[in-house]
Amino acid sequence: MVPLPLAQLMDQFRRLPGIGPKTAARLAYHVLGMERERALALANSIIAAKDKIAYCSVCFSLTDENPCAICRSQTRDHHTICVVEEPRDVAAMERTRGHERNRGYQGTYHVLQGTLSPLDGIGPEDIRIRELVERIQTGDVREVIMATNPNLEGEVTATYVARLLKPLGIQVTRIARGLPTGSDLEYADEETLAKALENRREI
Amino acid sequence: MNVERIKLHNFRNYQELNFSFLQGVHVFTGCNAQGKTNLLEALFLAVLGKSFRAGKDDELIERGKQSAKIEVEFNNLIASHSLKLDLYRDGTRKNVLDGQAIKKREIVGYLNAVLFCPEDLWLIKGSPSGRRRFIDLMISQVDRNYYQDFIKFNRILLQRNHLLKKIQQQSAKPKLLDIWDDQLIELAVKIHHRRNEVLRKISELAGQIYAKITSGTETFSAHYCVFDQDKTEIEFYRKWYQQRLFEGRNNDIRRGNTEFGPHKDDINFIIDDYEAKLFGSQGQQRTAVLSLKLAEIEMMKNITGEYPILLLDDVMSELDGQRRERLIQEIDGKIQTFMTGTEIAIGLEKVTATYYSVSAGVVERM
Ligand SMILES: Nc1ncnc2c1ncn2[C@@H]1O[C@H](COP(=O)(O)OP(=O)(O)O)[C@@H](O)[C@H]1O
Ligand SMILES: [Mg+2]
Ligand SMILES: [Zn+2]
Repeated sequence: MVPLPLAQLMDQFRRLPGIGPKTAARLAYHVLGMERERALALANSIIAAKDKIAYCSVCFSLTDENPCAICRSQTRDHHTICVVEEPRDVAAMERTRGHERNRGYQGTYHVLQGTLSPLDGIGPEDIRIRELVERIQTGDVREVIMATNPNLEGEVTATYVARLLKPLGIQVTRIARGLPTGSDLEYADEETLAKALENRREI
Repeated sequence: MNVERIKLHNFRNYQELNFSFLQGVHVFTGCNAQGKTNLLEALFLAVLGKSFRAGKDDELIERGKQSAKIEVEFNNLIASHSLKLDLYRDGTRKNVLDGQAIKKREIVGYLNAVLFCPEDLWLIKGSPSGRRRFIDLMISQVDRNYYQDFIKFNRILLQRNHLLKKIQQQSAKPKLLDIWDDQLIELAVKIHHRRNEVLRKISELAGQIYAKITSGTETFSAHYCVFDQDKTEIEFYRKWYQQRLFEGRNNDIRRGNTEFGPHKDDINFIIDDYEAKLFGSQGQQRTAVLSLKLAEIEMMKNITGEYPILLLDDVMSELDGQRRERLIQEIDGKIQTFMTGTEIAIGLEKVTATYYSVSAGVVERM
Protein backbone atom coordinates (compact mmCIF):
# COMPACT_ATOMS: atom_id res chain seq x y z
CA MET A 1 0.00 0.00 0.00
CA VAL A 2 1.19 3.46 -0.89
CA PRO A 3 0.63 5.94 1.99
CA LEU A 4 -2.20 8.33 1.20
CA PRO A 5 -0.21 11.61 0.91
CA LEU A 6 2.17 9.92 -1.49
CA ALA A 7 -0.69 8.50 -3.54
CA GLN A 8 -2.20 11.98 -3.70
CA LEU A 9 1.06 13.48 -4.89
CA MET A 10 1.30 10.83 -7.62
CA ASP A 11 -2.24 11.58 -8.61
CA GLN A 12 -1.42 15.31 -8.92
CA PHE A 13 1.52 14.57 -11.20
CA ARG A 14 -0.54 12.11 -13.20
CA ARG A 15 -2.95 14.91 -14.11
CA LEU A 16 -0.21 16.93 -15.79
CA PRO A 17 -0.01 16.70 -19.59
CA GLY A 18 2.25 14.02 -20.97
CA ILE A 19 2.75 12.26 -17.63
CA GLY A 20 1.82 8.59 -17.35
CA PRO A 21 1.50 6.55 -14.16
CA LYS A 22 5.14 5.44 -14.21
CA THR A 23 6.55 8.93 -14.62
CA ALA A 24 4.11 10.24 -11.98
CA ALA A 25 5.38 7.68 -9.48
CA ARG A 26 9.01 8.49 -10.31
CA LEU A 27 8.44 12.22 -9.83
CA ALA A 28 6.60 11.68 -6.54
CA TYR A 29 9.40 9.51 -5.12
CA HIS A 30 11.90 12.07 -6.35
CA VAL A 31 10.10 14.83 -4.44
CA LEU A 32 10.09 12.65 -1.29
CA GLY A 33 13.83 12.26 -1.62
CA MET A 34 14.40 16.04 -1.81
CA GLU A 35 15.50 18.19 1.09
CA ARG A 36 12.59 20.02 2.67
CA GLU A 37 13.99 23.36 1.44
CA ARG A 38 14.01 22.21 -2.16
CA ALA A 39 10.50 20.81 -1.95
CA LEU A 40 9.29 24.06 -0.43
CA ALA A 41 11.00 26.08 -3.17
CA LEU A 42 9.22 23.94 -5.77
CA ALA A 43 5.84 24.39 -4.09
CA ASN A 44 6.45 28.15 -3.69
CA SER A 45 7.41 28.69 -7.31
CA ILE A 46 4.24 26.96 -8.41
CA ILE A 47 2.16 29.30 -6.25
CA ALA A 48 4.18 32.40 -7.15
CA ALA A 49 3.86 31.73 -10.88
CA LYS A 50 0.16 31.11 -10.46
CA ASP A 51 -0.40 34.29 -8.41
CA LYS A 52 1.87 36.76 -10.19
CA ILE A 53 1.39 35.82 -13.81
CA ALA A 54 -1.68 36.94 -15.66
CA TYR A 55 -2.72 37.66 -19.22
CA CYS A 56 -1.66 40.96 -20.76
CA SER A 57 -4.77 43.06 -21.30
CA VAL A 58 -3.54 44.10 -24.75
CA CYS A 59 -2.03 41.01 -26.38
CA PHE A 60 -3.23 38.24 -23.99
CA SER A 61 0.21 36.78 -23.62
CA LEU A 62 1.44 35.85 -20.14
CA THR A 63 3.09 38.57 -18.12
CA ASP A 64 3.88 39.67 -14.57
CA GLU A 65 3.23 43.31 -15.45
CA ASN A 66 0.29 44.70 -17.32
CA PRO A 67 0.60 45.55 -20.21
CA CYS A 68 3.48 43.22 -20.93
CA ALA A 69 7.02 44.33 -21.77
CA ILE A 70 6.51 43.85 -25.50
CA CYS A 71 3.28 45.87 -25.59
CA ARG A 72 4.98 48.69 -23.61
CA SER A 73 8.24 48.66 -25.54
CA GLN A 74 9.20 51.84 -27.48
CA THR A 75 11.52 49.93 -29.80
CA ARG A 76 8.99 47.38 -31.08
CA ASP A 77 7.06 47.98 -34.28
CA HIS A 78 3.49 48.56 -33.15
CA HIS A 79 2.20 48.67 -36.75
CA THR A 80 2.68 44.93 -37.03
CA ILE A 81 0.83 42.26 -35.06
CA CYS A 82 1.72 38.59 -35.16
CA VAL A 83 -1.28 36.43 -34.27
CA VAL A 84 -0.50 33.16 -32.49
CA GLU A 85 -2.51 30.48 -30.70
CA GLU A 86 -0.85 30.25 -27.31
CA PRO A 87 1.55 32.25 -25.08
CA ARG A 88 4.22 29.59 -25.64
CA ASP A 89 4.15 30.49 -29.37
CA VAL A 90 5.16 34.06 -28.44
CA ALA A 91 8.23 32.57 -26.78
CA ALA A 92 8.94 30.55 -29.94
CA MET A 93 8.67 33.64 -32.18
CA GLU A 94 10.83 35.68 -29.79
CA ARG A 95 13.61 33.14 -30.23
CA THR A 96 13.92 34.32 -33.84
CA ARG A 97 15.41 37.55 -32.43
CA GLY A 98 18.47 35.77 -31.11
CA HIS A 99 20.79 37.87 -28.94
CA GLU A 100 21.10 40.92 -31.13
CA ARG A 101 17.76 42.65 -30.80
CA ASN A 102 17.78 44.02 -34.35
CA ARG A 103 17.26 40.58 -35.89
CA GLY A 104 14.13 38.49 -36.32
CA TYR A 105 10.64 39.60 -35.49
CA GLN A 106 10.30 43.24 -34.42
CA GLY A 107 6.54 43.66 -34.12
CA THR A 108 4.00 42.90 -31.40
CA TYR A 109 1.74 39.90 -30.74
CA HIS A 110 -1.82 38.86 -30.24
CA VAL A 111 -2.54 35.56 -28.52
CA LEU A 112 -5.85 34.02 -29.54
CA GLN A 113 -5.75 31.53 -26.67
CA GLY A 114 -7.01 28.74 -28.88
CA THR A 115 -8.31 27.96 -32.37
CA LEU A 116 -11.72 27.46 -33.85
CA SER A 117 -12.79 23.90 -33.15
CA PRO A 118 -16.50 22.97 -33.11
CA LEU A 119 -15.42 19.57 -31.83
CA ASP A 120 -14.21 21.19 -28.62
CA GLY A 121 -17.08 23.65 -28.59
CA ILE A 122 -14.84 26.57 -29.53
CA GLY A 123 -16.33 29.24 -31.79
CA PRO A 124 -15.15 32.76 -32.70
CA GLU A 125 -16.56 34.21 -29.45
CA ASP A 126 -14.52 31.83 -27.35
CA ILE A 127 -11.11 33.03 -28.50
CA ARG A 128 -9.65 36.56 -28.53
CA ILE A 129 -10.80 37.53 -32.01
CA ARG A 130 -13.07 40.40 -30.94
CA GLU A 131 -10.17 41.91 -28.95
CA LEU A 132 -7.94 41.68 -32.03
CA VAL A 133 -10.50 43.53 -34.16
CA GLU A 134 -10.80 46.22 -31.48
CA ARG A 135 -7.04 46.61 -31.32
CA ILE A 136 -6.95 47.14 -35.07
CA GLN A 137 -9.83 49.57 -35.09
CA THR A 138 -8.33 51.74 -32.33
CA GLY A 139 -4.62 51.51 -33.20
CA ASP A 140 -2.48 52.17 -36.24
CA VAL A 141 -1.96 48.62 -37.45
CA ARG A 142 -0.73 48.01 -41.00
CA GLU A 143 0.01 44.33 -41.12
CA VAL A 144 -1.34 41.31 -39.32
CA ILE A 145 0.74 38.14 -39.64
CA MET A 146 -1.22 34.96 -39.02
CA ALA A 147 1.12 32.53 -37.28
CA THR A 148 -1.33 29.93 -36.08
CA ASN A 149 -0.09 26.32 -36.30
CA PRO A 150 0.01 24.75 -39.78
CA ASN A 151 -2.57 22.10 -38.90
CA LEU A 152 -6.26 21.97 -39.86
CA GLU A 153 -7.62 24.09 -37.03
CA GLY A 154 -4.76 26.57 -37.33
CA GLU A 155 -5.36 27.00 -41.07
CA VAL A 156 -9.10 27.39 -40.66
CA THR A 157 -8.64 29.97 -37.90
CA ALA A 158 -6.15 31.91 -40.02
CA THR A 159 -8.59 31.98 -42.93
CA TYR A 160 -11.44 33.07 -40.69
CA VAL A 161 -9.48 35.92 -39.13
CA ALA A 162 -8.12 37.00 -42.51
CA ARG A 163 -11.59 37.26 -44.00
CA LEU A 164 -12.72 39.26 -40.99
CA LEU A 165 -9.83 41.71 -41.16
CA LYS A 166 -9.63 42.25 -44.91
CA PRO A 167 -12.51 44.79 -44.97
CA LEU A 168 -10.63 46.88 -42.37
CA GLY A 169 -8.10 47.72 -45.06
CA ILE A 170 -4.98 46.18 -43.54
CA GLN A 171 -2.55 43.71 -45.01
CA VAL A 172 -3.05 40.18 -43.71
CA THR A 173 -0.29 37.64 -44.29
CA ARG A 174 0.29 34.01 -43.42
CA ILE A 175 3.65 32.60 -42.39
CA ALA A 176 5.12 30.40 -45.08
CA ARG A 177 4.78 26.66 -45.28
CA GLY A 178 8.39 26.18 -44.29
CA LEU A 179 7.01 24.44 -41.25
CA PRO A 180 6.11 20.80 -41.62
CA THR A 181 2.32 20.59 -41.79
CA GLY A 182 0.51 19.18 -38.84
CA SER A 183 3.35 20.29 -36.60
CA ASP A 184 3.46 22.76 -33.75
CA LEU A 185 5.02 26.18 -33.91
CA GLU A 186 6.64 25.79 -30.52
CA TYR A 187 8.77 22.86 -31.67
CA ALA A 188 10.08 24.58 -34.79
CA ASP A 189 13.67 25.75 -34.58
CA GLU A 190 14.48 29.45 -34.81
CA GLU A 191 15.86 29.24 -38.32
CA THR A 192 12.82 27.48 -39.78
CA LEU A 193 10.56 29.93 -38.00
CA ALA A 194 12.56 32.95 -39.16
CA LYS A 195 12.37 31.66 -42.75
CA ALA A 196 8.65 31.02 -42.46
CA LEU A 197 8.21 34.57 -41.22
CA GLU A 198 10.37 36.07 -43.96
CA ASN A 199 8.51 34.20 -46.70
CA ARG A 200 5.06 35.04 -45.48
CA ARG A 201 2.46 35.57 -48.17
CA GLU A 202 -0.69 37.60 -48.40
CA ILE A 203 -4.00 35.83 -47.72
CA MET B 1 8.64 -7.54 -49.47
CA ASN B 2 8.99 -10.06 -46.69
CA VAL B 3 8.28 -10.43 -43.01
CA GLU B 4 11.46 -11.82 -41.44
CA ARG B 5 10.41 -12.19 -37.83
CA ILE B 6 7.52 -11.67 -35.49
CA LYS B 7 7.72 -11.45 -31.71
CA LEU B 8 4.68 -11.23 -29.49
CA HIS B 9 4.38 -10.71 -25.76
CA ASN B 10 1.00 -10.81 -24.01
CA PHE B 11 -0.79 -10.20 -27.28
CA ARG B 12 -4.32 -11.73 -27.28
CA ASN B 13 -3.78 -15.40 -26.41
CA TYR B 14 -0.04 -15.31 -27.12
CA GLN B 15 2.12 -15.00 -24.03
CA GLU B 16 5.37 -15.35 -25.92
CA LEU B 17 5.97 -15.95 -29.58
CA ASN B 18 9.16 -15.60 -31.55
CA PHE B 19 9.27 -16.90 -35.10
CA SER B 20 11.37 -16.12 -38.11
CA PHE B 21 10.15 -16.57 -41.66
CA LEU B 22 11.66 -17.06 -45.06
CA GLN B 23 9.93 -16.17 -48.29
CA GLY B 24 7.17 -18.39 -49.61
CA VAL B 25 3.90 -19.69 -48.28
CA HIS B 26 3.28 -20.18 -44.55
CA VAL B 27 0.27 -22.24 -43.57
CA PHE B 28 -1.16 -22.10 -40.03
CA THR B 29 -3.64 -24.78 -39.11
CA GLY B 30 -5.50 -25.57 -35.94
CA CYS B 31 -8.96 -25.86 -34.44
CA ASN B 32 -11.18 -22.86 -33.94
CA ALA B 33 -10.31 -20.21 -31.37
CA GLN B 34 -6.65 -21.20 -31.09
CA GLY B 35 -5.04 -17.97 -32.28
CA LYS B 36 -4.71 -18.28 -36.04
CA THR B 37 -6.46 -15.02 -36.85
CA ASN B 38 -4.73 -13.35 -33.90
CA LEU B 39 -1.42 -14.00 -35.62
CA LEU B 40 -2.53 -12.33 -38.87
CA GLU B 41 -3.96 -9.52 -36.80
CA ALA B 42 -0.54 -8.95 -35.22
CA LEU B 43 1.10 -8.83 -38.66
CA PHE B 44 -1.54 -6.43 -39.89
CA LEU B 45 -0.82 -4.12 -36.95
CA ALA B 46 2.56 -3.54 -38.55
CA VAL B 47 0.80 -2.60 -41.78
CA LEU B 48 -1.84 -0.17 -40.62
CA GLY B 49 -0.93 0.50 -36.99
CA LYS B 50 -4.32 -0.75 -35.94
CA SER B 51 -6.28 -3.96 -35.92
CA PHE B 52 -8.53 -5.07 -38.76
CA ARG B 53 -11.11 -6.26 -36.28
CA ALA B 54 -10.63 -4.71 -32.83
CA GLY B 55 -11.88 -1.18 -32.28
CA LYS B 56 -9.53 -0.51 -29.39
CA ASP B 57 -6.00 -1.54 -28.47
CA ASP B 58 -7.45 -2.69 -25.16
CA GLU B 59 -8.89 -5.88 -26.69
CA LEU B 60 -5.46 -6.80 -28.04
CA ILE B 61 -3.78 -7.01 -24.67
CA GLU B 62 -3.93 -10.44 -23.07
CA ARG B 63 -6.67 -10.59 -20.46
CA GLY B 64 -5.30 -9.81 -17.01
CA LYS B 65 -2.12 -8.19 -18.37
CA GLN B 66 -1.22 -4.51 -18.38
CA SER B 67 0.56 -4.27 -21.71
CA ALA B 68 1.28 -6.06 -24.95
CA LYS B 69 4.31 -5.98 -27.23
CA ILE B 70 4.36 -6.65 -30.94
CA GLU B 71 7.61 -6.64 -32.84
CA VAL B 72 7.81 -7.22 -36.57
CA GLU B 73 10.98 -7.28 -38.62
CA PHE B 74 10.54 -6.99 -42.36
CA ASN B 75 12.33 -5.89 -45.47
CA ASN B 76 11.37 -4.10 -48.62
CA LEU B 77 13.36 -3.22 -51.72
CA ILE B 78 14.98 -0.32 -50.00
CA ALA B 79 15.78 -1.47 -46.49
CA SER B 80 15.17 -3.73 -43.53
CA HIS B 81 12.95 -2.39 -40.79
CA SER B 82 12.01 -3.25 -37.28
CA LEU B 83 8.72 -2.00 -35.89
CA LYS B 84 7.95 -2.28 -32.20
CA LEU B 85 4.55 -1.51 -30.73
CA ASP B 86 3.89 -1.32 -27.00
CA LEU B 87 0.21 -1.18 -26.13
CA TYR B 88 -0.95 -0.24 -22.64
CA ARG B 89 -4.22 -0.79 -20.82
CA ASP B 90 -4.85 2.93 -20.36
CA GLY B 91 -5.06 3.33 -24.15
CA THR B 92 -1.62 4.83 -24.61
CA ARG B 93 0.99 3.20 -26.81
CA LYS B 94 4.52 3.48 -28.09
CA ASN B 95 5.38 2.96 -31.76
CA VAL B 96 9.06 2.63 -32.54
CA LEU B 97 10.36 2.20 -36.08
CA ASP B 98 14.06 1.40 -36.37
CA GLY B 99 14.70 2.85 -32.95
CA GLN B 100 12.76 6.07 -33.55
CA ALA B 101 9.47 6.90 -31.87
CA ILE B 102 6.81 7.59 -34.51
CA LYS B 103 3.12 8.46 -34.54
CA LYS B 104 0.55 5.80 -35.23
CA ARG B 105 -0.28 7.28 -38.61
CA GLU B 106 3.37 7.15 -39.64
CA ILE B 107 3.38 3.35 -39.46
CA VAL B 108 1.46 3.10 -42.73
CA GLY B 109 3.49 2.66 -45.90
CA TYR B 110 6.47 0.57 -44.78
CA LEU B 111 5.05 -2.96 -44.70
CA ASN B 112 2.40 -3.41 -47.37
CA ALA B 113 -0.15 -6.20 -47.28
CA VAL B 114 -3.28 -7.43 -48.93
CA LEU B 115 -5.71 -8.97 -46.48
CA PHE B 116 -8.32 -11.43 -47.63
CA CYS B 117 -10.75 -12.80 -45.06
CA PRO B 118 -14.23 -14.35 -45.23
CA GLU B 119 -15.91 -10.97 -44.58
CA ASP B 120 -14.45 -9.78 -47.87
CA LEU B 121 -16.86 -12.10 -49.64
CA TRP B 122 -19.39 -9.41 -48.74
CA LEU B 123 -17.44 -6.81 -50.68
CA ILE B 124 -19.85 -6.96 -53.60
CA LYS B 125 -23.22 -7.14 -51.84
CA GLY B 126 -22.35 -5.55 -48.50
CA SER B 127 -22.51 -1.91 -47.47
CA PRO B 128 -20.69 0.88 -49.36
CA SER B 129 -18.38 1.43 -46.39
CA GLY B 130 -16.74 -1.95 -47.06
CA ARG B 131 -16.05 -0.96 -50.65
CA ARG B 132 -14.67 2.42 -49.63
CA ARG B 133 -12.46 0.68 -47.11
CA PHE B 134 -11.16 -1.63 -49.82
CA ILE B 135 -9.97 1.21 -51.99
CA ASP B 136 -8.80 3.48 -49.17
CA LEU B 137 -6.72 0.78 -47.54
CA MET B 138 -5.05 -0.03 -50.82
CA ILE B 139 -4.19 3.54 -51.77
CA SER B 140 -3.16 4.54 -48.26
CA GLN B 141 -0.45 1.90 -48.17
CA VAL B 142 1.21 3.00 -51.38
CA ASP B 143 0.57 6.74 -51.22
CA ARG B 144 1.41 8.47 -47.96
CA ASN B 145 -0.07 11.77 -49.18
CA TYR B 146 -3.37 10.06 -49.76
CA TYR B 147 -3.40 8.66 -46.25
CA GLN B 148 -2.63 12.07 -44.76
CA ASP B 149 -5.36 13.66 -46.88
CA PHE B 150 -7.76 10.93 -45.87
CA ILE B 151 -7.12 11.49 -42.15
CA LYS B 152 -7.44 15.24 -42.62
CA PHE B 153 -10.66 14.88 -44.56
CA ASN B 154 -12.20 12.84 -41.77
CA ARG B 155 -11.12 15.41 -39.24
CA ILE B 156 -12.75 18.23 -41.23
CA LEU B 157 -15.87 16.14 -41.53
CA LEU B 158 -15.96 15.61 -37.79
CA GLN B 159 -15.52 19.33 -37.17
CA ARG B 160 -18.12 20.23 -39.76
CA ASN B 161 -20.67 17.82 -38.33
CA HIS B 162 -20.19 19.26 -34.87
CA LEU B 163 -20.66 22.71 -36.29
CA LEU B 164 -23.83 21.62 -38.09
CA LYS B 165 -25.29 20.46 -34.78
CA LYS B 166 -24.35 23.77 -33.17
CA ILE B 167 -26.07 25.67 -35.98
CA GLN B 168 -29.10 23.46 -35.60
CA GLN B 169 -29.26 24.45 -31.92
CA GLN B 170 -28.75 28.06 -33.03
CA SER B 171 -25.56 28.42 -31.04
CA ALA B 172 -23.46 29.15 -34.14
CA LYS B 173 -23.97 31.07 -37.39
CA PRO B 174 -24.41 29.15 -40.67
CA LYS B 175 -21.85 31.49 -42.25
CA LEU B 176 -19.17 29.79 -40.18
CA LEU B 177 -19.56 26.74 -42.41
CA ASP B 178 -17.80 28.59 -45.26
CA ILE B 179 -14.28 28.15 -43.95
CA TRP B 180 -14.79 24.46 -43.16
CA ASP B 181 -16.44 23.84 -46.52
CA ASP B 182 -13.48 25.36 -48.35
CA GLN B 183 -11.17 22.89 -46.64
CA LEU B 184 -13.59 20.01 -47.14
CA ILE B 185 -13.83 20.69 -50.87
CA GLU B 186 -10.04 20.95 -51.23
CA LEU B 187 -9.57 17.51 -49.68
CA ALA B 188 -12.60 15.94 -51.36
CA VAL B 189 -11.17 16.89 -54.75
CA LYS B 190 -7.88 15.17 -53.98
CA ILE B 191 -9.47 12.03 -52.55
CA HIS B 192 -12.00 11.74 -55.32
CA HIS B 193 -9.36 12.19 -57.99
CA ARG B 194 -6.98 9.61 -56.57
CA ARG B 195 -9.70 7.03 -55.92
CA ASN B 196 -10.94 7.39 -59.47
CA GLU B 197 -7.49 7.08 -60.92
CA VAL B 198 -6.66 3.94 -58.95
CA LEU B 199 -10.05 2.33 -59.42
CA ARG B 200 -9.75 2.68 -63.17
CA LYS B 201 -6.54 0.67 -63.07
CA ILE B 202 -8.05 -1.85 -60.66
CA SER B 203 -11.00 -2.26 -62.95
CA GLU B 204 -8.73 -3.04 -65.86
CA LEU B 205 -6.58 -5.51 -63.92
CA ALA B 206 -9.50 -7.22 -62.18
CA GLY B 207 -11.32 -7.43 -65.51
CA GLN B 208 -8.41 -9.32 -67.06
CA ILE B 209 -8.14 -11.70 -64.11
CA TYR B 210 -11.88 -12.28 -64.04
CA ALA B 211 -11.85 -13.12 -67.73
CA LYS B 212 -9.03 -15.59 -67.17
CA ILE B 213 -10.86 -17.37 -64.34
CA THR B 214 -14.05 -17.63 -66.36
CA SER B 215 -12.16 -18.55 -69.53
CA GLY B 216 -13.40 -15.41 -71.18
CA THR B 217 -17.08 -16.20 -70.84
CA GLU B 218 -17.88 -13.25 -68.55
CA THR B 219 -16.73 -9.65 -68.21
CA PHE B 220 -16.13 -7.66 -65.06
CA SER B 221 -15.46 -3.98 -64.35
CA ALA B 222 -15.48 -1.56 -61.42
CA HIS B 223 -16.75 2.01 -61.49
CA TYR B 224 -16.59 4.86 -59.07
CA CYS B 225 -19.87 6.49 -58.31
CA VAL B 226 -21.37 9.07 -57.83
CA PHE B 227 -19.10 10.89 -60.14
CA ASP B 228 -17.05 8.77 -62.52
CA GLN B 229 -15.11 11.17 -64.71
CA ASP B 230 -11.66 11.16 -66.12
CA LYS B 231 -8.81 12.97 -64.51
CA THR B 232 -8.98 16.09 -66.59
CA GLU B 233 -12.22 16.85 -64.83
CA ILE B 234 -10.87 18.00 -61.46
CA GLU B 235 -12.31 21.47 -61.80
CA PHE B 236 -15.60 20.01 -62.88
CA TYR B 237 -15.82 17.86 -59.77
CA ARG B 238 -14.81 20.77 -57.57
CA LYS B 239 -17.65 22.91 -58.89
CA TRP B 240 -20.07 20.01 -58.70
CA TYR B 241 -19.22 19.23 -55.06
CA GLN B 242 -19.23 22.90 -54.11
CA GLN B 243 -22.70 23.22 -55.56
CA ARG B 244 -23.84 20.01 -53.90
CA LEU B 245 -22.60 21.14 -50.47
CA PHE B 246 -24.16 24.54 -50.89
CA GLU B 247 -27.53 23.23 -51.98
CA GLY B 248 -27.51 20.58 -49.28
CA ARG B 249 -26.56 22.98 -46.52
CA ASN B 250 -29.99 23.39 -44.96
CA ASN B 251 -30.59 19.69 -45.14
CA ASP B 252 -27.20 19.03 -43.56
CA ILE B 253 -28.04 21.45 -40.75
CA ARG B 254 -31.37 19.74 -40.16
CA ARG B 255 -29.69 16.35 -39.92
CA GLY B 256 -26.57 17.56 -38.17
CA ASN B 257 -24.58 15.52 -40.66
CA THR B 258 -22.78 15.95 -44.00
CA GLU B 259 -24.80 14.00 -46.52
CA PHE B 260 -22.59 14.28 -49.60
CA GLY B 261 -18.95 13.66 -50.23
CA PRO B 262 -16.24 11.02 -50.60
CA HIS B 263 -17.33 9.52 -47.27
CA LYS B 264 -20.62 8.54 -48.95
CA ASP B 265 -19.34 7.52 -52.36
CA ASP B 266 -19.52 3.97 -53.59
CA ILE B 267 -18.07 1.56 -56.10
CA ASN B 268 -20.24 -0.17 -58.62
CA PHE B 269 -19.21 -3.60 -59.89
CA ILE B 270 -20.52 -4.70 -63.25
CA ILE B 271 -20.64 -8.31 -64.40
CA ASP B 272 -21.76 -8.80 -68.00
CA ASP B 273 -23.49 -5.41 -68.09
CA TYR B 274 -25.41 -6.06 -64.88
CA GLU B 275 -24.90 -4.59 -61.44
CA ALA B 276 -23.19 -7.35 -59.46
CA LYS B 277 -24.64 -5.97 -56.21
CA LEU B 278 -28.14 -6.77 -57.43
CA PHE B 279 -27.77 -9.60 -59.87
CA GLY B 280 -24.49 -11.39 -59.16
CA SER B 281 -24.73 -15.05 -58.24
CA GLN B 282 -22.74 -16.33 -55.28
CA GLY B 283 -20.19 -17.90 -57.59
CA GLN B 284 -19.81 -14.68 -59.58
CA GLN B 285 -19.35 -12.68 -56.41
CA ARG B 286 -16.57 -14.98 -55.22
CA THR B 287 -14.82 -14.76 -58.55
CA ALA B 288 -15.21 -10.99 -58.47
CA VAL B 289 -13.74 -10.67 -54.97
CA LEU B 290 -10.85 -12.96 -55.83
CA SER B 291 -10.18 -10.93 -59.00
CA LEU B 292 -10.26 -7.70 -57.01
CA LYS B 293 -7.84 -9.00 -54.40
CA LEU B 294 -5.44 -10.25 -57.06
CA ALA B 295 -5.77 -6.94 -58.87
CA GLU B 296 -4.99 -5.17 -55.60
CA ILE B 297 -1.76 -7.15 -55.35
CA GLU B 298 -0.75 -6.27 -58.93
CA MET B 299 -1.70 -2.65 -58.40
CA MET B 300 0.53 -2.35 -55.36
CA LYS B 301 3.34 -4.00 -57.27
CA ASN B 302 2.88 -1.53 -60.12
CA ILE B 303 3.10 1.45 -57.81
CA THR B 304 5.83 0.38 -55.37
CA GLY B 305 7.82 -1.95 -57.60
CA GLU B 306 7.42 -4.95 -55.31
CA TYR B 307 4.75 -7.34 -54.17
CA PRO B 308 3.04 -6.79 -50.82
CA ILE B 309 2.67 -9.70 -48.42
CA LEU B 310 -0.61 -11.57 -48.53
CA LEU B 311 -2.68 -12.48 -45.48
CA LEU B 312 -5.33 -15.11 -46.16
CA ASP B 313 -7.56 -15.75 -43.19
CA ASP B 314 -9.71 -18.85 -43.56
CA VAL B 315 -10.49 -18.21 -47.23
CA MET B 316 -9.08 -21.28 -48.93
CA SER B 317 -12.03 -23.35 -47.72
CA GLU B 318 -14.38 -20.72 -49.15
CA LEU B 319 -13.04 -21.09 -52.67
CA ASP B 320 -13.69 -23.97 -55.01
CA GLY B 321 -10.95 -25.97 -56.72
CA GLN B 322 -10.58 -23.81 -59.79
CA ARG B 323 -10.48 -20.49 -57.95
CA ARG B 324 -8.11 -21.90 -55.36
CA GLU B 325 -5.77 -23.03 -58.11
CA ARG B 326 -5.87 -19.61 -59.71
CA LEU B 327 -4.94 -17.99 -56.40
CA ILE B 328 -2.09 -20.44 -55.78
CA GLN B 329 -0.74 -19.83 -59.26
CA GLU B 330 -0.64 -16.11 -58.63
CA ILE B 331 1.20 -16.31 -55.31
CA ASP B 332 3.53 -19.26 -55.80
CA GLY B 333 7.14 -18.17 -55.91
CA LYS B 334 6.24 -14.47 -55.93
CA ILE B 335 4.40 -13.41 -52.84
CA GLN B 336 5.13 -14.13 -49.22
CA THR B 337 1.85 -15.47 -47.91
CA PHE B 338 0.48 -16.20 -44.46
CA MET B 339 -2.63 -18.34 -44.62
CA THR B 340 -4.80 -19.90 -41.96
CA GLY B 341 -7.37 -22.69 -41.99
CA THR B 342 -8.76 -25.46 -39.85
CA GLU B 343 -7.37 -28.05 -42.24
CA ILE B 344 -4.33 -28.15 -44.42
CA ALA B 345 -5.83 -26.70 -47.52
CA ILE B 346 -6.18 -29.04 -50.40
CA GLY B 347 -4.63 -27.74 -53.59
CA LEU B 348 -1.38 -26.83 -51.88
CA GLU B 349 0.29 -30.07 -52.91
CA LYS B 350 2.29 -28.46 -55.69
CA VAL B 351 3.46 -25.57 -53.55
CA THR B 352 6.47 -25.56 -51.28
CA ALA B 353 4.95 -24.31 -48.09
CA THR B 354 5.97 -24.27 -44.46
CA TYR B 355 3.35 -25.69 -42.12
CA TYR B 356 2.62 -24.73 -38.53
CA SER B 357 0.13 -25.94 -35.97
CA VAL B 358 -1.59 -23.42 -33.75
CA SER B 359 -3.01 -24.53 -30.43
CA ALA B 360 -4.02 -22.28 -27.51
CA GLY B 361 -1.57 -19.55 -28.39
CA VAL B 362 1.34 -21.89 -29.08
CA VAL B 363 2.70 -22.20 -32.60
CA GLU B 364 4.84 -25.13 -33.67
CA ARG B 365 6.49 -25.86 -36.98
CA MET B 366 5.28 -29.16 -38.39
N1 LIG C 1 -7.27 -10.19 -25.13
C1 LIG C 1 -7.25 -11.52 -25.10
N2 LIG C 1 -6.64 -12.17 -24.09
C2 LIG C 1 -6.59 -13.54 -24.07
N3 LIG C 1 -7.15 -14.32 -25.02
C3 LIG C 1 -7.77 -13.71 -26.05
C4 LIG C 1 -7.83 -12.29 -26.15
N4 LIG C 1 -8.51 -11.97 -27.28
C5 LIG C 1 -8.85 -13.16 -27.86
N5 LIG C 1 -8.40 -14.19 -27.14
C6 LIG C 1 -8.56 -15.62 -27.41
O1 LIG C 1 -8.09 -15.89 -28.70
C7 LIG C 1 -8.83 -16.96 -29.26
C8 LIG C 1 -9.35 -16.58 -30.63
O2 LIG C 1 -8.27 -16.50 -31.48
P1 LIG C 1 -8.45 -16.43 -33.05
O3 LIG C 1 -7.12 -16.15 -33.60
O4 LIG C 1 -9.55 -15.50 -33.40
O5 LIG C 1 -8.92 -17.92 -33.36
P2 LIG C 1 -8.79 -18.76 -34.69
O6 LIG C 1 -7.68 -19.70 -34.46
O7 LIG C 1 -10.10 -19.45 -34.78
O8 LIG C 1 -8.56 -17.81 -35.80
C9 LIG C 1 -9.97 -17.23 -28.32
O9 LIG C 1 -9.65 -18.36 -27.55
C10 LIG C 1 -10.01 -16.02 -27.45
O10 LIG C 1 -10.49 -16.28 -26.15
MG1 LIG D 1 -9.97 -17.21 -37.27
ZN1 LIG E 1 1.03 42.38 -24.25
